Amino acid sequence: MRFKQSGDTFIPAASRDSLVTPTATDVIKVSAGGESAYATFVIRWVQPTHFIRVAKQNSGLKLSLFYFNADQQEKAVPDSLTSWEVVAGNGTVTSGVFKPAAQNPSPYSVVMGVDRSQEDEWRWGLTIIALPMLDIDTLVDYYSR
Amino acid sequence: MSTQKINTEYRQAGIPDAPEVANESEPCILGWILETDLNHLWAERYARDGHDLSEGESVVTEREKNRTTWELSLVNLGYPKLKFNISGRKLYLCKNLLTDLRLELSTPNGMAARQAIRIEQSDGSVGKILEVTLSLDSTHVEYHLSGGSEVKVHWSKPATYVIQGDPLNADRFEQHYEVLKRMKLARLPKPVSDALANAWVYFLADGDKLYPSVYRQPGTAAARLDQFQTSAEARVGMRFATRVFPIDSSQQPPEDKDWVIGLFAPSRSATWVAGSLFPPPDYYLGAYVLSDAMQARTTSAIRAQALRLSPLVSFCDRGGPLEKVELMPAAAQATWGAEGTLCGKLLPQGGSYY
Repeated sequence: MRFKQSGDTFIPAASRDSLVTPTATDVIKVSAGGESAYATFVIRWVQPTHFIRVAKQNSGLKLSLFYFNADQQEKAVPDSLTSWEVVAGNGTVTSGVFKPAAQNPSPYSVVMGVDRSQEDEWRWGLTIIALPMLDIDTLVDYYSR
Repeated sequence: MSTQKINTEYRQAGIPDAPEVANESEPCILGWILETDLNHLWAERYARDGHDLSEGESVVTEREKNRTTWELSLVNLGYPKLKFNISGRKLYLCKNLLTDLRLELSTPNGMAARQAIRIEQSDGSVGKILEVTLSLDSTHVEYHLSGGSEVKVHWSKPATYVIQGDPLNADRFEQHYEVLKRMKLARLPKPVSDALANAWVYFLADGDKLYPSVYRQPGTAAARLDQFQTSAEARVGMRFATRVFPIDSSQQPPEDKDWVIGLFAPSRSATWVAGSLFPPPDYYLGAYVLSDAMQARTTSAIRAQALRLSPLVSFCDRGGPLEKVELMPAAAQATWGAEGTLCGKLLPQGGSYY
């Protein structure tokens, strides 16, 4: 694993040519008496460089990606340079707005945000969106304190 | 001129009703039901739906684990049971504790906003029931279409909170609900009449009967109980004020005749059988019988998963410590495996994983 030298992130970013993807998702399944239960582990091969903020936007949950630069100043990543991926659960992110699945939603989804401003490094954030496990107002309140 | 007279004249002229005047002195709907019948309806629905997650609400509390880590505790409560005690002037409200989840939030180095990193489950709540005791005289019910179309019990005097069989653990519920002084009963569909977009229900009691009184504004229960008669076979009676629910010449009952039951009893737990203007033109009286609980089912219940793993979800780092996976309830015959290919390993000692 190689990390970008003299990058602008406070937490060093991994070079993309040394790491295919920053996460992997493992799901453990246990069955007994005709029922099944699951435990999900999202493996972080490297530490996230960025973090995710949440806000209520109309009826949806708006996600935004931020990071600290080398001078420890908080920087926002423009929506146009942010890609979102759901790595566990069945929620979806469209134009930065998270929505649980309409049918049989998983109680939570794990969402990865990728900053594409430097295509040769992994600039990314990862969080669990506990929706609909929490209602949207409660989630925004506790995640934003 | 009174609104009622205006409406009568307007109706005769085919003109929609005049806007309602403020400060109604009498309820727009007055009902009656035997205390034993109402308690039976709630007990029956609770037995059927008391473990349904979809009709419940959740209680969230936060604990700081250290300067950069917080734990949210989330307990889901199921469909409620109300039990009125007229002679003791009490109202008991019971809810099953269904799921017990803990969500870990953290702000590691270089993060300015809390990121959720782990959700654990426990079966600590299994079989436990929260019982809240309210003073009947300081309790009412409210419905607001704009408030998620939910029916909630409100109270003004301090309530007492007990977890049956676990008296020490009611504190978190007391801290949560004594600030709110309200608790969800159910979610209702939208009423047909705009007049019921906001409703305040007060409970008058006389002997063995309760008289739910529906107002369109907050107030207090009327001191005078305006009793009325319905047919002998009726188990529930409702008196609609025609100034609010106009009745045309066909004398069809108000369209919300079934909906209003959900303001004080389980939704659809009483069935309309007959109605008439009495005395005309001021009131429309409706008679109901009690419904069969199984026929009243409208939605499929979502029950808490009986078999659970904890953690439900967690982040783990390359080279990090072993993660213990716990199965609840512990089942000797459980089959452990993976969905797809694992990057980590599942070790056999009860299920530890990294």
